[in-house]
Amino acid sequence: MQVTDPSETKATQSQPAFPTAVVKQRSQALLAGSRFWWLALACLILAIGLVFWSMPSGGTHIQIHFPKGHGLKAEDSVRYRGIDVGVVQTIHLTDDLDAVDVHVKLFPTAKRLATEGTKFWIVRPQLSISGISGLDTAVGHKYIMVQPGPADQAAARYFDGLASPPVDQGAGSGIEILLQADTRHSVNVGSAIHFRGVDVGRILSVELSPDARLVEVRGKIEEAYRSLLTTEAKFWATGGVDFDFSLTKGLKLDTESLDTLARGGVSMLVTGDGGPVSPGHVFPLSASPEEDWITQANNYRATSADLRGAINLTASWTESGMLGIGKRKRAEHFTGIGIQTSGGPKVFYPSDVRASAESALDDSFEIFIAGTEEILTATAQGKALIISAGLSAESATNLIAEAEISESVQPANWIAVRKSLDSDVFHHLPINAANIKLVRQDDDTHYWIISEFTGDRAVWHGTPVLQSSTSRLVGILIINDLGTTVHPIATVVVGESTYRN
Amino acid sequence: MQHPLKSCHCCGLIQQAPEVTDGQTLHCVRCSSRIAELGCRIKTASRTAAAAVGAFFLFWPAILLPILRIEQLGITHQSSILGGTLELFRHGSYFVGGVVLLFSIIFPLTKIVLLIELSLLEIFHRKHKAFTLRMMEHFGKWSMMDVMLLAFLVMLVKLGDMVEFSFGPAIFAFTLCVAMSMLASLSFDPHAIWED
Repeated sequence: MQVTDPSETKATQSQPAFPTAVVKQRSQALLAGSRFWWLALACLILAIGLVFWSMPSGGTHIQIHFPKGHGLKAEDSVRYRGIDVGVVQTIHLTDDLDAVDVHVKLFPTAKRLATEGTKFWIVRPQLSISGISGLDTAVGHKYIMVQPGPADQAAARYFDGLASPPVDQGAGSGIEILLQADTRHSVNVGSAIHFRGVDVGRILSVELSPDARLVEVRGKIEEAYRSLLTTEAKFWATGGVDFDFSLTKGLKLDTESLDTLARGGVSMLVTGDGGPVSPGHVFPLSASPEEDWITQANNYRATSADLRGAINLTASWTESGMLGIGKRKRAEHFTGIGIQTSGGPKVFYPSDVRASAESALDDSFEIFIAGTEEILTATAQGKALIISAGLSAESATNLIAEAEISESVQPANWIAVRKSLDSDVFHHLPINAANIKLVRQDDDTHYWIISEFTGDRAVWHGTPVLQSSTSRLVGILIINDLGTTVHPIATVVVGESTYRN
Repeated sequence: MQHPLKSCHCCGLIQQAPEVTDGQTLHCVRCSSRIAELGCRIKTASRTAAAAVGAFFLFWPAILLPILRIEQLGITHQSSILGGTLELFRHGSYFVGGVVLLFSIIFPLTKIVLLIELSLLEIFHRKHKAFTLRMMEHFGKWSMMDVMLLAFLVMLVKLGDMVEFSFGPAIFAFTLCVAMSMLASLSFDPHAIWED
């Protein structure tokens, strides 16, 4: 007997009658039993994969021996050039309680740091009158800084950490010199070497000579100022303050800078050409400068580059004023390069200055040599980057000879040259070789991209660029929206037919 | 015509279970939930076992690999569930450490292992199986893996601004492990253990 209503089941309990279950067609189960085992297998693969993925990736383990821990903790970082290159694993005292052993794991990418000659030190806040350093570690965690040693050194595992940051930290190349003095003259490690008040180097160490009769001061002149240094360089100590008190003139106080006041320093002047200086050259260190040094130094020109070739040009045009009413006279100053070519004196200038010609009224656009009425008769042709124009004999001064155009394509230390607007004085702006990148184009021409150029377009656009060592012309400096570039002028001068005026 | 009697595991109604062929299923007349027949029970057990074994595989990376990565003031600290628990013990928080150890490591593991045993292995005697089932049901209530997952998510929201906070590789294993163990206990049919 079949009863389907459960209430009826209760009513007829005397007679046990049970409902019959409903039989339905089986729906195709998405995950039938056997397919679940595939899922289990996927889980296994995932588990193994995760373990492999998060396996500690190699890394180089090194041990550094520091005289003091300065509060360094495990999991603090090791940094080089501002990024983490490793992590401190453990720190413990040495057995004789004299030092701290720090176990560091360097990341695989920083493996090269684990070679002999690498220096490690713990960065901690340091406050002195001459500066504050490591301030980030006052609040945050301490970290270990690294300075890699010279290349091609053998790998090492054990290092002796430095008690304090090295003086020439990250300074890179330069030339080391030795100064000998009778006394220390308040020169300290880390003091600056000044050249006319500009920092050109650092003092690396101050020590007694082996026979204790002299004080030997090792200094390093930065690479950028190496060309200043000749055997005729003079050094003297500039520590403390010069008081000069007289009743008629009052008190005269003379000091270099607060830094020098605090740490003492060394000043340098170059009084003559002398010979080139090899590393380790010994100079005497005087207590004060001799009278005639300054006059000699003033007569001596340190840079041997022959500054010339820049010609100031002015573009002038009239354009319609606001809302088309009235007229406005406009002018733009720029520079061109004067070159004595086989076809007579010529000036080469960037073509983009002619862009304003389109807004000029009635062919009023003119380019003339600044300070004169001489109008250049040049017309832009095609897409030439540089335009040349003939020069009259009066304006053809300080020209660069055609033979003085450099054919070297490799970047070197260069200088951009400009002429003062109101006088015949030439100014220059150095361009470091490191900031120059050579670009070769498909059509076998080339140019250079200058990075970190600080000059303004209004002043430096179109200026000649000379090699600072040979003072030969490299090219023309072009500053536009795309950046700062130097374009060789040799092709333009030689290939006259390409860019005719 | 009398069919064998079966009770619905959901509402408990005793009803006659007619023979079914392949491709047919029995459903309770009152609550429409499925009544498992013998062939189906083998499949259910197999499914439970598969899910439990999957959860078992994932359990180890879930507790051993780093699950949290906290970066504060330039220092990165990462810890696994097991490592974090041991750290609690090391710092002297025995009670909290014990609670975490019990509810997020021991109980989930016990539950998974018992599920595997009940659905797959035939080690225990039938009488013991009943005991095992009861134990599993009690432990299952206290295995707090899913709760812990929620706690991690809440932490992620709460600490968002203060510290740099990110999940480690174990979180994938952990989430999937929770899902698989839930799947296993959902598909587990206790009636299956009485069938012979």
